[in-house]
Amino acid sequence: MEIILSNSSARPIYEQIASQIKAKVMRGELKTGDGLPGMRSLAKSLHVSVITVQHAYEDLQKEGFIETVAGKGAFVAAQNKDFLREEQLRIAEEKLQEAADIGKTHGIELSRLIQALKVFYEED
Amino acid sequence: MSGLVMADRLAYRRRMSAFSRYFSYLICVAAFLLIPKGIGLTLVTLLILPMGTANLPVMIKEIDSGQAYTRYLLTLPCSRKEIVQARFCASLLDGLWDMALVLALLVIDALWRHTCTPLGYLQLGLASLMIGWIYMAMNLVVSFLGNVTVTSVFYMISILAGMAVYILVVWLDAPVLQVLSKNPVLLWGGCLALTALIVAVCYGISLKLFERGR
Amino acid sequence: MDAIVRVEGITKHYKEFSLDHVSFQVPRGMILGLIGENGAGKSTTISALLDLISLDEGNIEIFGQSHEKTARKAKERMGVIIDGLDPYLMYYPKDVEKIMSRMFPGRWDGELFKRYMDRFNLPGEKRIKDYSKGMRVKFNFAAALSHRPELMILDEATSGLDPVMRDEILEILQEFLEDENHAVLMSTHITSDLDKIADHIVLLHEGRVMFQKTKEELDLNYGVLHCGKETFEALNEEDVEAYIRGDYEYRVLVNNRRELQEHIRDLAIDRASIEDIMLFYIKGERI
Repeated sequence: MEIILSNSSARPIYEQIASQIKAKVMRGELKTGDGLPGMRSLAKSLHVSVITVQHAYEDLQKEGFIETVAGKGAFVAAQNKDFLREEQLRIAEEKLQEAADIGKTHGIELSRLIQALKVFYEED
Repeated sequence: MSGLVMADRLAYRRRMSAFSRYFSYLICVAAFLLIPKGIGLTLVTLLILPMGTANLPVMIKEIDSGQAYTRYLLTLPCSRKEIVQARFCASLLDGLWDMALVLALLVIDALWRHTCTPLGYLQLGLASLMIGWIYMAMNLVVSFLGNVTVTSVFYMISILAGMAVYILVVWLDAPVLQVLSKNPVLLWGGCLALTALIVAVCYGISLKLFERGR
Repeated sequence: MDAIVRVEGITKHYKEFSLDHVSFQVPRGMILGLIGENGAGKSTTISALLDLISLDEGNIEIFGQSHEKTARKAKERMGVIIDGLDPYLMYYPKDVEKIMSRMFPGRWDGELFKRYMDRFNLPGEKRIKDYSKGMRVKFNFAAALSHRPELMILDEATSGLDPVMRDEILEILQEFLEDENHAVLMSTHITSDLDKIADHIVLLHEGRVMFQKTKEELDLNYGVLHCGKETFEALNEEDVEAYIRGDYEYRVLVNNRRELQEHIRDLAIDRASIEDIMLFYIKGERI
């Protein structure tokens, strides 16, 4: 499993770790029941504090991506991936609705908004 | 405590190369063989070899000044008391080699030269033991007193003083043995008790001195 | 917090220096970095932890037990490496083994010691005084780790080592921490090492604790802003932890980097390294 951190990114390290793991789960690179590296071991490999990794794992657990078994470690939780993706899609659509409303109210052209969306997808 | 004793003894043994140790024994044997009229015997058994038992604490103090050896011992699972005890034990144990050589020389002299009566040899042996322990105890207590200079200087002084007393006694032909033979049990017993007392007092003072460092 | 070391209000008065009510905790499974200038009290604190000095006030608990009574027992479970203490120079490795196996009966692991010696490429037939400085430090670690301690106490243990060797030592420490019952207290002024591995940081200054924070907290919240007078004066007091007024600019240590960056779009707020934080706390001014 590869996790690549950027110190220069504005995103906190724990978020970078969590989101990369999330993405792997979504893409199927990590399957249900797969074990995650031990927190200290991951901290060592990434050269970060174990507390940072704890933070990431806590977030992942809160959002239902992983479960921790006492004494054994963290494992990828059973996902209804399609459901999750639908959820996220719904949230994204809400935000797009907001953007569309603002655009319409203030006379911003659709192509401008689409261009901005393209830029966001392509950065980072 | 056995770890501490081992640490002290090995420290001494490694610092003092085997060569210089055997060399000094060689000198002793040579002096014993070559110096006549029993002076070689008494010089070696009453002066040189007993002084050797004081070597260990002095050498360890030197090690301390370069490497903070004793300070490191304090980070190991042992009490200050154990460190003092171990240093005394290590000095004693190491001194056994010197005592063994004394014994050997006494036996050789008894069989070869017959310088004294058997009782005389016994007295020489006892005297050697006591002088050795007194030297050892005094140098030990000074080694716990303070810095390496004080310890080394005291060591030098104790050696010179011992040599001076020896030379005086031999030169004046003082009837030491006669005096002691007057009331042997009382006087020898008294000497032994005095030695034990000196060692005990030095031990007690060493404990106090070392505790004070906290 | 399951703390392996609890220091509560320790105070020690010397003629020219005092340790003043120092308190902090080392949680299990964590590495705590103790930082501060030379003379800030780091070594004095560690001496107190090792029961090398008596305390005027305060309390130390190690392994859940008051240190005064149990220092000797606690030390069986502690590995200690202090720079400047070169205790093994005159010995051969086999001598050290003999000594340590007696000092730590039942805990010394000869196999483990041999594995460390091999791993660090340390020649078994030379005296330690014939080792290079780096090899000596590694040997100290081999000897300290081979009696399977739970707590490692290091006082400037990596000073004098080149970066490659320091990295190796840090790796050894992290391996040591893979057992979640272990902990490390590490006093150092090489803060870049702590940037890599520390979990908690305690800053000592003039005998007092300035803060104990997790490195995560420092990473998330602290930042260094370079700005001009105008921007500086526009900042809220609560945002500014400390500032240093340079010849051409203000350098500000802010304590809510991410929020502030939202409001200040044209200037970059950099992440603060531990060294930055230390310098600002010690040399910076408060509003």
